[in-house]
Amino acid sequence: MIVAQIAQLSTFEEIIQLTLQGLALGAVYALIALGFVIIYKATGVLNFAHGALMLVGVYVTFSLVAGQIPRVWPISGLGQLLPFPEWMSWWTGLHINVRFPISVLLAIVFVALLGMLIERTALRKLVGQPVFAVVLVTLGLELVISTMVQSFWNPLQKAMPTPFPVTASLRIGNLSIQWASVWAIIVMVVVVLGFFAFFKYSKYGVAMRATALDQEAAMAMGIKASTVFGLAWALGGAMAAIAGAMFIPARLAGFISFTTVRFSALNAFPAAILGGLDSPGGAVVGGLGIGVAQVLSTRYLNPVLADLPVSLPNFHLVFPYVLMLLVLLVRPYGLFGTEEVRRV
Amino acid sequence: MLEVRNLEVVYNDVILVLRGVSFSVPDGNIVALLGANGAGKTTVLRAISGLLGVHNGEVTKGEVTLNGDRIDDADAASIVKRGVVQVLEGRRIFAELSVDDNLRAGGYTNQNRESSDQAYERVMTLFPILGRRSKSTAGYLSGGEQQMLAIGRALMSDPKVLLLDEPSLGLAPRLVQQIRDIIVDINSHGTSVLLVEQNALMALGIADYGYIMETGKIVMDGESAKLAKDADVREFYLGLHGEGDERKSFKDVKHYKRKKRWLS
Repeated sequence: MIVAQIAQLSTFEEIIQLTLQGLALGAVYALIALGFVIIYKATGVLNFAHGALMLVGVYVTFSLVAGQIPRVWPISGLGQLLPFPEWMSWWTGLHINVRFPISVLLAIVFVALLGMLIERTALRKLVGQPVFAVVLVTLGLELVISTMVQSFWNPLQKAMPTPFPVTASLRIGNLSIQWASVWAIIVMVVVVLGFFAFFKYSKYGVAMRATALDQEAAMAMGIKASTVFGLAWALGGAMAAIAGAMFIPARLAGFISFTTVRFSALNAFPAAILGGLDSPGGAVVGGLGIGVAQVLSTRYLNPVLADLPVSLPNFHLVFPYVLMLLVLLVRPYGLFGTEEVRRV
Repeated sequence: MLEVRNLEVVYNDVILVLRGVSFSVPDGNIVALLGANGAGKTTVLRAISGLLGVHNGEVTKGEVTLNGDRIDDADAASIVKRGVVQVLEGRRIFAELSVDDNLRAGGYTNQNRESSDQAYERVMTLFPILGRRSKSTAGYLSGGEQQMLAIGRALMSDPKVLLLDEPSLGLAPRLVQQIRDIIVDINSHGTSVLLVEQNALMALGIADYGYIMETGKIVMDGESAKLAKDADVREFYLGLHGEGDERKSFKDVKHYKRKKRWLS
């Protein structure tokens, strides 16, 4: 992406630089994967609609920051964006450094509620049904939600105002890393630490873990499964929204591309599986690892593979899946996935 | 007082499992519910604690009341809040959580900081072993310790009525003794206990009153001392036979007489 700058660096510096960029990308993957794992662990649902939740997060953030809302009615007006009404003009007048974080917060709330709504309406009735049925429902939801996003927000590239100018970078010696990436990493660390503290120490965290292990026993303790399910989906949705809000400035320089967002979100699945589907920590490590691997492979593997007799351009796009397969060959339950604890 | 009146439970809309079960657990008592496999003992407990839904069962007739209030239509969480908590058969501890986290999960409904600390202290005095192993993964405890954890976890919600499903299952005789003493100890602090057991000797040894179930009905009840003396109970549950306790071989029983019916 920032090829011009890295040309002057030594190989070692270049690797560090690319790793930092990879960590920023990995932070996005890590958050999506973490949300995915939380939902899987607490409710047993493999949520393939998770990428779609991120899409919603991205576009809701865009709408709020840019002050443009999609026209929902009449149907023929789909894809049209209307500016905020007159009395909201104070909002678009706000400084972007204030407007952006508030918009992200609102988007987080919106997507969290959307997650809870999906769980309540589409998945609650499917508790105890075959995994296959549940997976297909989430796949269907992915299609429905992303198609709706596509038709509400005209999918052409949109510029989202962000507080991070493309040129603003943090410089350490010869290295430079964009502020958007630095923030992505910081936000990821804060969210992940916050989540783990919540998961480990709070009453609801214990309830979530207990329900994940044995739903009936948890119910016998007075833990409401519906509360835990709703909470898991809200957390997952919130993390997807945060990931989306970080992805646009850090990786796309503020330009929203529907397909890029949608397919990047898919990379969180190999991240989650590689880390171990039932391990939140594994999701974070897997996400970061895949981010770094992808950026490094773009730089070092792509040129080599493109020169092969059978040319393999854009190998970095499938590299996460290759990595996942390699890890699964050695550890079938993922890097940190637990084998069943059993007294012998 | 926990009362069950004329309870009828159906699984999957067709399988009639309880056919009019009535009994009561007076405050501060230990009541034993005995019966062979498949008699419906566990179903009775599920109906009381609101866990029938998980197994696709429902109460079709009758009622469960706690101190006069109906609880058969309430959900599991609110039943626990009202002070009725069930210890599931087969311990069902959260194997991957630490002992402490298991106990915290048990105290989920206990909103009050002070009373949950008290409950924790009480569990620690009852089961010192859990205090020593508070950080270890629950799945690696021994069978007896796991049963203690399961009971301790239930006590964390400070219940008025404790429903115990087969607490002696799979435990060595010595541990059965220990669990038995613990149940008596818990009861002596004012918690009523409904004890479902296959180990009739143990159950009748500590219970005030006993009920015997067979194929979804209560076929016999009485003071546990009286039940323990009953010839049929002695034969079928205690493995003892009539006067002089002479061993009887099934060889000597005519085929058509082997199937014993109660009250017939």
